[in-house]
Amino acid sequence: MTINAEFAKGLWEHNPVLRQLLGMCPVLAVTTSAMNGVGMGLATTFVLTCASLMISLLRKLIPGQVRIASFIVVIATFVTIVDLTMKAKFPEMSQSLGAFIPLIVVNCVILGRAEAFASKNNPGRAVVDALGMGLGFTASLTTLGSIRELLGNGTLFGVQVMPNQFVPWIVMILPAGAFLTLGLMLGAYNKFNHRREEAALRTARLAAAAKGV
Amino acid sequence: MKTTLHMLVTLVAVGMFSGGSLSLVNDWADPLIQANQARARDEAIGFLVPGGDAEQLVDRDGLVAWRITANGEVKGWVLRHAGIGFQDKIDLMIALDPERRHVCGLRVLADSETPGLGTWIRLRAEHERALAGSADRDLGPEVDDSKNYPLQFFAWGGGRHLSAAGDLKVVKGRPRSELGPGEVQAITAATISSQAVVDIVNAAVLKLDALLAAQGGTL
Repeated sequence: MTINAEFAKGLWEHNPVLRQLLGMCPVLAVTTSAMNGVGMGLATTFVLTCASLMISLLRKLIPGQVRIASFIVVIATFVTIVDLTMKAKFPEMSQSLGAFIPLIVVNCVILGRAEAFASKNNPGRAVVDALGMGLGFTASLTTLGSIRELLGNGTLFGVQVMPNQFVPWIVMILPAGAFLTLGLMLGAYNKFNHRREEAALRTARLAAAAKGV
Repeated sequence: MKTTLHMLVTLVAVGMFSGGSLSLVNDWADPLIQANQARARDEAIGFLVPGGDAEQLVDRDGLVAWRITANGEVKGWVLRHAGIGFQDKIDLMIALDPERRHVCGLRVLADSETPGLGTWIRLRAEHERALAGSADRDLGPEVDDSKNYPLQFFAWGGGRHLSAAGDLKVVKGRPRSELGPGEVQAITAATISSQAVVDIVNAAVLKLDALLAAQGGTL
């Protein structure tokens, strides 16, 4: 697989939220606003990229028996660095995301990529894969947060977008809104992919038929 | 034996890398975090009882209290007290009137409540702005709905205030207009956080009363 394809697979084809359904806890819990989605996504991307790089560099030195313990310590280190940095430099964002920043340590996207990819590939590929997955995660969270904020609060990134007559759908900011929006996003994602696959199949059949003729 | 040693050396090396990195980052971040916390505390005092000088009189048993004065007159009190919320500590700043009979404001300094649920205990930015521009700290009954939990600790709907006698309790399923001075309406889907805030406020005012009584009413 080319480096470009390695990067792009996390954005759409193997998107951690829409295809792999990983990291559902922060996806559902913190996406009450678009800004929360961006903040959580970027924090996760940072941890994912740094942890993947470190694990890939150490992959030949870490014995198989203690690999998971070592991965967790590396991931927890970067999560704590993000937590401290956000408290020092972005206190409002840190306050807004609350307990979910320390909980990045148990986000299965990170351990999953460490185990499935970074520990088996060179550092360059591991970083590109982590960046693609992280940005795919960020894009999904931002989209989910934007829809919920727009319908639940009438704003987008804190700016009033809906007209004054609009009555906010409070349910969208509550957990039920997260499940509803994620369900609709997954449905739309699957529908789009299904149509694309059908179109590709049709094209292949036509090409085969043309060759037969 | 060789494998065991390899495993041990690996874990020790990873642990040392982790500890060293965190130590360096903490040395850099800690002063900034302390400064942020001090700024947030000072801003909270200025927001809760504006236009006065804060004099810290109590720092004991987890309670910090400031008396706010202007031109020799007491304008109010601000208490800082923390308690356990849904999953971790909630750090609150509570405003009292000069006689300490009523609660006149509330600000959450820090919490780890669930975003989108327990975080409703924080005052929303637009209400904070509106309160800052309101001389009597009363936004009136038009904001009287169940999504404005922290507003109940300010004056609401005609200057009514909550009791500062340590007798606040959380109630559910009744409109705010029917609540008494010792009753706080719970937030939908965040009852535990609502109860935690009320417990912290009660504990703080009772602790201050006890400290004052022990010293003959003076500090």
